[in-house]
Amino acid sequence: MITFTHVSKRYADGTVAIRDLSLTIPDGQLLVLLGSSGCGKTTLLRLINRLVEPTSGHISIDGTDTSTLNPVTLRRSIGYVLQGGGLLPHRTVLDNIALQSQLAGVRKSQARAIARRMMREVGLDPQLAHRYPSQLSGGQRQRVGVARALSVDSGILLMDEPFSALDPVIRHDLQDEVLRLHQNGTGVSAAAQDKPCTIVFVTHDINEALRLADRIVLLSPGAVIEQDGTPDDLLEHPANDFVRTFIEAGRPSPRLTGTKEHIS
Amino acid sequence: MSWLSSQWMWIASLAVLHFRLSLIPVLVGFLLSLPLGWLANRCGRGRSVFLAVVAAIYAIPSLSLLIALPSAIGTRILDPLNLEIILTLYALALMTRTSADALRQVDRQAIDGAQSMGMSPVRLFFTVRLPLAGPVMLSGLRVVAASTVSLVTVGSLIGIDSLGTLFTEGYQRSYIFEIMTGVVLTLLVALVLDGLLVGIGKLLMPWTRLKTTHHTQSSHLDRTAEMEAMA
Amino acid sequence: MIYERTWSWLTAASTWQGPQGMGVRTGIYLWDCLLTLLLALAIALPLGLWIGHTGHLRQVVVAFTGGMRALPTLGLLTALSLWMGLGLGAPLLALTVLAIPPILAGAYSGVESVDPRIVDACHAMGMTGWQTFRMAELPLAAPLIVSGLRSAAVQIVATWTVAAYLPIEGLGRYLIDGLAVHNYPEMLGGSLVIIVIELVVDGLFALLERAVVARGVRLERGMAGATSSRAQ
Repeated sequence: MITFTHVSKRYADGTVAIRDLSLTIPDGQLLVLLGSSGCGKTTLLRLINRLVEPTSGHISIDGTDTSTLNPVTLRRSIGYVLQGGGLLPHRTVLDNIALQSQLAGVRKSQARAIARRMMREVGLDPQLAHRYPSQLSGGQRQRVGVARALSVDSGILLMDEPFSALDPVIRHDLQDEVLRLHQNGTGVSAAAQDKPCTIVFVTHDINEALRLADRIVLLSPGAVIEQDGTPDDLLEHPANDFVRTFIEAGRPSPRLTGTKEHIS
Repeated sequence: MSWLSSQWMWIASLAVLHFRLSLIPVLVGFLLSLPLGWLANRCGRGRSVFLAVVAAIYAIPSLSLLIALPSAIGTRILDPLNLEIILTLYALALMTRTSADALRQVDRQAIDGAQSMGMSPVRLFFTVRLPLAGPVMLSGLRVVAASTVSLVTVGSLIGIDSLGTLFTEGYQRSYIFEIMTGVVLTLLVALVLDGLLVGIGKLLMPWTRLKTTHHTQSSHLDRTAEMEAMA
Repeated sequence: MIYERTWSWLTAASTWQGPQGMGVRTGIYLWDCLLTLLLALAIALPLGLWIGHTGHLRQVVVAFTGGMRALPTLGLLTALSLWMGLGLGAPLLALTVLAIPPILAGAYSGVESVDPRIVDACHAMGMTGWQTFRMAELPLAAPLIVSGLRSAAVQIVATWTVAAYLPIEGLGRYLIDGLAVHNYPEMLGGSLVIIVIELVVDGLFALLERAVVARGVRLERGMAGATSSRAQ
């Protein structure tokens, strides 16, 4: 369980990214932080593994205040997926994935064995193991990034707009993958794999959010929670005009999906 | 100090001479780097080889070149023209890569836009490519100018007058003040030339004045660092 | 005619032999160059890498390296020599000082050139600052670091020639001494040998620069090159 208690974040330049936010994410939930760029959703995500430190307030994981933990140790125990995968260009696919386990102290040969398993887990052709990131397609690179994050055993996965740069078909495939991983659980050990994992997923794409989420938190600038609920809640009972406008702007409007002649 | 008051006319004339000796190679080197840079970009796969060969000129020591060149082109060894030619070659060696990179990095959208308006290639080069490549070229040119001003002084070893003469003369007379005067004035000449280039840049590229933001500032610094490392 | 005389000077056994022959002078010259490069490296590389990694002092150093470019070598050499007296001390100090900026610039711009998203990913995976530096920043910065070394080396080789004016033993003697007595074959011969050494040094560093590009990055560049040449 991840808990935010009265968290605020003001950057050095004076921008207030988050204003007094409290939020609880129960185990096994797939939570989507939704909002347009600059609303503070990425900051919120990065607070969880202390890539960003709060100005005030507390974040705790399973009851432990993260500020009492060593940030490096904390990050090694939480899977993190970035846009583009964030891969090291001078290391092979296999070594990129294995690196995560090696950081946790696993020996190289064993780390590679885990990496191979994770490649299968995310549907990567084993033949790609000795390729370099530059030799992969955007979708494959993103899968490597996911595979790397999966070799962490905590059952928490943070995903920061991982699929925004991909074309719709590939994005759709990868979204399926996320849904499957969420059900099967992540991690290396059998215990971690039995139960659904917790995923915090950041996106600006309402359709992606509706497709993936158990629960959507829609944010406006300053990380103000405009609505917190299931996809159905958002669609059927939008809390206010902000939510209504956000949904309408992102959903295919019936008028525009008509024939070409209709538009012109 | 009495040296300074009795010799200031001569020192001033050396400074003016130094400025002139620096200015010509920088300008000629820059102008020649444009066709060479353009040509490099047309070389396809040969681009990097072409640029490497041109850049290798810079590796030849100036003093050696000052001595070797006259016999190759038939000038007299004391002719300042030798120095001008050599410094032009150095400027060219440093500047060609910058020009090639600057011309290549011009936003494709701007070029597509111009082409779709039906602009001829020549016109496109002078009205779109060149002005848009200007800021990057300017920052490269500033590096070239600084290094040229410093190199001019080497000519004094074989008897070509410049502020460098203060170094050789000061050394022979064991007069450190004369040398320091030369160093300070050389830095001053470099500063004036740099200011001149920046001024001309602002005059020719008024749009860069509008956004003298942190961004353009830092891109100049980056370019400088990059050239510093590559030079 | 001058070429024939130069050639016969260069090929004469007497030119090469003895304590002031070309063989000994080349040895001294290369040794001085190497010493200067190592000294400058020891100072500038750690400092440059640290600046690149932390971003501290960046503005100061950028201004410093820019200003250094206009500092005339000959002025520094003669002034230091008058101040410190004859011997290797003055030229060694002057040339080391002049070799620092390119190495510094190569090191910090190399580390800075690493994609910030990669560095961010390293932090996010739970790498320490040192691990990020060692596993990502250093290998990816290597080509620019070597390129800085290369220009420092080229500059050192060129400037030790000038140092012969002080006077210092080494290959530069042929240029300065030849000039004093108008012995053109000696000057030209010495110049040619120095030019060859310089081009060899430059070439060796160019090869090293290519060799330190990581395989995965080379492939990436190859692809970028292929697409851009197609686009034209």
